[in-house]
Amino acid sequence: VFFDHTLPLLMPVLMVAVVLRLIDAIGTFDQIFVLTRGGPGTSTQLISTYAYNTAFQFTQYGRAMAMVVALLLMTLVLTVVAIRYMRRAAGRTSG
Amino acid sequence: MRRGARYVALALAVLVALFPFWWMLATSLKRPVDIFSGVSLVPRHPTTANYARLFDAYHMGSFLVNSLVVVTVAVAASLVLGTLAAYALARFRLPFGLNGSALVGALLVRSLPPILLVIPLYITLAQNGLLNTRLGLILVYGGLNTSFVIWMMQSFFQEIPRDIEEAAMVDGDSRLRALRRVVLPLAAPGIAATAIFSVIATYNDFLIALTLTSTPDAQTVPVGVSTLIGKIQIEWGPMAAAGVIGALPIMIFAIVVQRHFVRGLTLGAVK
Repeated sequence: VFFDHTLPLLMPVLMVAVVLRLIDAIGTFDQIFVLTRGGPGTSTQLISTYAYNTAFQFTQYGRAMAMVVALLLMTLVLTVVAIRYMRRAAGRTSG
Repeated sequence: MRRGARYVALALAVLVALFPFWWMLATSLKRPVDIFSGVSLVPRHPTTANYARLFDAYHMGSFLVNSLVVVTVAVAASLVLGTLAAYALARFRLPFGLNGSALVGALLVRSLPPILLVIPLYITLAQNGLLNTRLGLILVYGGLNTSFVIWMMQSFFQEIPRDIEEAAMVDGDSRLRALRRVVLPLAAPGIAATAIFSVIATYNDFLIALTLTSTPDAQTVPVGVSTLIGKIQIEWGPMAAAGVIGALPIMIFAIVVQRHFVRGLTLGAVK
């Protein structure tokens, strides 16, 4: 019953949750900074930690802002996707 | 039988959830030798030396005070400002469809990746001499939180029927008085929920506090704890102790607010 009915009905809501978590995860900073600082080498570097280092270790604020704006564009695309899924989920439950 | 199985499963889940906390508590009571001498669930020679070191050598006291001051003032200010703004947005029609854009703006501020905000904030605070001050942190957290409070409270206010406060205003209350005596008590569970989320988010924040503070004068608990990870060694004992101490304020707060939560619900039901 769960796989035939409950899961398909949940799919739109699940998709919203997945996209929102993606938006969160793409900007992850705390865990990586505390655990590995992007190292060893650059093997665990994300845009967020790389931008942080560029800005506050090498004081290149302009470059760091450029990286972060790129990150923002990525999250904006995901946000649009999330809003679209939200609309669809809302439409299905009310209709 | 099935009930029994369910309880066993629940107990297992609770055990898994609580185990890291127990491990932290146990580690915080171990001597450095015991921490590295293999696995033991219970500290063999319990000691409070880690806690003493934490407060004497690692400024845990001032981290705690900073965190408590910043969180209390910032959340209180944003709750007052945000609740009033949300009430206005829920009850009045602004021209040019500004209600909608104000709400979207409030949500947008919340969903920006914090790393994006941190660099301009750093430069702005530096120019105004507010780096490494509690006031600077309060302003930043207060502002960011207000948008969240507006977003949350607005939906709560919309669920409260207008008629109740209009009845109060017919009976001679001014709008603010009606808001204070009628609407706010009804919205209490919402305010409690919003307060919990705000406090937890502000207290847990790492990136903003890390960037905008640099000494124990203004560093908050999460940042302070991260300074225990040194270049050469990691102070596991004091760090576990810091984890225990750092979790206490949130746990106390959760217990206090939980009562309001339940009371607010029953208040709403009796009406």
